Amino acid sequence: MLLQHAFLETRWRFLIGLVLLPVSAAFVALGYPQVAALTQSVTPTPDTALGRDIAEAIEMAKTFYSYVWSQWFEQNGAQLAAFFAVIIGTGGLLSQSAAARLFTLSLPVSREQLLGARAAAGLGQVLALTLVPALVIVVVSPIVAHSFPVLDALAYALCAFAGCAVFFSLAFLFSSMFSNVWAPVVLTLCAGSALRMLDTITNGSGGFSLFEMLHGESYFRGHGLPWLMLLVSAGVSAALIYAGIRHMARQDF
Amino acid sequence: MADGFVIETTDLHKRYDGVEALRGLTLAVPAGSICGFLGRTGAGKTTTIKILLGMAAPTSGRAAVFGLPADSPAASVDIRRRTGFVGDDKGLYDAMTVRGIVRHTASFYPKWNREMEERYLRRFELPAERGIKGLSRGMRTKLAMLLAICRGADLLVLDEPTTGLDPAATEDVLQALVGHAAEQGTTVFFSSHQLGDVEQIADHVVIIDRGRTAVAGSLDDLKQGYRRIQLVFDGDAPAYTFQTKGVERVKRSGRVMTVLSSAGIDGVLGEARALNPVSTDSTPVTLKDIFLDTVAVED
Repeated sequence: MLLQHAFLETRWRFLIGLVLLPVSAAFVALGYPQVAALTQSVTPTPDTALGRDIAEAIEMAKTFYSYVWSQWFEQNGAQLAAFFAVIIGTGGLLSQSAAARLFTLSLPVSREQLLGARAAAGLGQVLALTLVPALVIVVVSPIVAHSFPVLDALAYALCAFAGCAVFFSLAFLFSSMFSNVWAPVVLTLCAGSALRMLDTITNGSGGFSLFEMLHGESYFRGHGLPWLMLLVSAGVSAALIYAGIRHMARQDF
Repeated sequence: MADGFVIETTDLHKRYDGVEALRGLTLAVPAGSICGFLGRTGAGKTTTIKILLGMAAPTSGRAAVFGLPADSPAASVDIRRRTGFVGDDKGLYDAMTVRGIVRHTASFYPKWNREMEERYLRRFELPAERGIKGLSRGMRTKLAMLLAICRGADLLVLDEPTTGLDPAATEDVLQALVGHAAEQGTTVFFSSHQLGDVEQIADHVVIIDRGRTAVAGSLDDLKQGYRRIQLVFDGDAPAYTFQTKGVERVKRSGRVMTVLSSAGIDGVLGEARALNPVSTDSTPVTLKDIFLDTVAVED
């Protein structure tokens, strides 16, 4: 029942994501024929930054597989999933009305159980938001006479989930500190932007890039799954959630 | 549970951001009693309730419910399992329906009474499929009461249960409360500003002021013991400090000295004879008198 209630609390955010992400993923896959045709008619001039970007996009669009990876798993899908992970991670006890919060706290469950259920429900929703669009791509690819391997889709979904879980957990931690709904969103997005900038400055954060893992870059480049970063992300997520639960457990209401 | 008390606090202190909400609160609520918990706004009633239910931790002192320490997270879960709570805002989950929150709450209580649930749904005329957001304050209060009562609790803790209700709804809620307590032997601890409500249903009273217990005891004993004694003098009433135990307050106004005694009149009258009053008179007091005399006049 705790899980159900935790699910209900974020169900609209989750359901919007569950419609938006798979539809977007389907559009990306189904749009390949037009993109492929378009790229044949474009000749970029690689002496400018924009030209180089266009040339890289054209290169990526040469195969359906690299096109789907670059457009969905590296860009749109990753960004959308991370954003929904953040907004699903926000909320919880502190954002409830004061009276509803007291009703929740009067139930015979510990705060650890309450927040643990919320974290579990939220992570389940984030998993669905990364997994379902990946599988939608697998399912709709034959419509444009292409295919995307199920195992690869699952591998990318796993990477995306691990990365999004970090953002979810960070928002979860901030939500245990601020009753304002927007503060955790803004702070988590700021933290994400800072990490992104660090990535750019250090050219991949010395192999420990959260974003490269979230995109499944090493898998795409043929280096297999980034097990170490997956483990690190899982550890960081667990630590952030634990910190959020401990912080909430000590609070007076 | 020591000496048949369901709730006990000893020298309980609570400080929030430099504000002392409780300053050594000591109280005991007997098992099976209906105990009215009175005090002015900000006296520490809600803070006490929050500490009893593990929603806030005491700064120092001891709070126990069913003999279990309220500040232990594990014991607090056990306390809440045996306690029904109605908060002052009657806050529930607005997104749920009446039936939905009943099912949600029932899932936490193995002793949930389905038959009682149906009975109170009918008695309170609660629309089972209506969203909680659309309920009036009175309906919310009744729903909150149903949720507290049907869980098979040994203790009901109610924070201002009748605030904002019309007289009919207030009567409904109070009757349900008294009926349930009588039928199930449940202890009821309720805070209120409505002295009439307390006088109507409570058999015990605790009055707190500025975080300390001002008056506590059985309502009958209080009414028996408390007397207002009026002494009239020839000239201005003398400034005099009574040595008799039980003198709670002395007021002088011109030729009249009014003494509030919590231990009857004999001791006060005996001591007052030495002051040579021209007349003496004693009257019983109401709960409102006790409340106003012990709490409200301290400004």
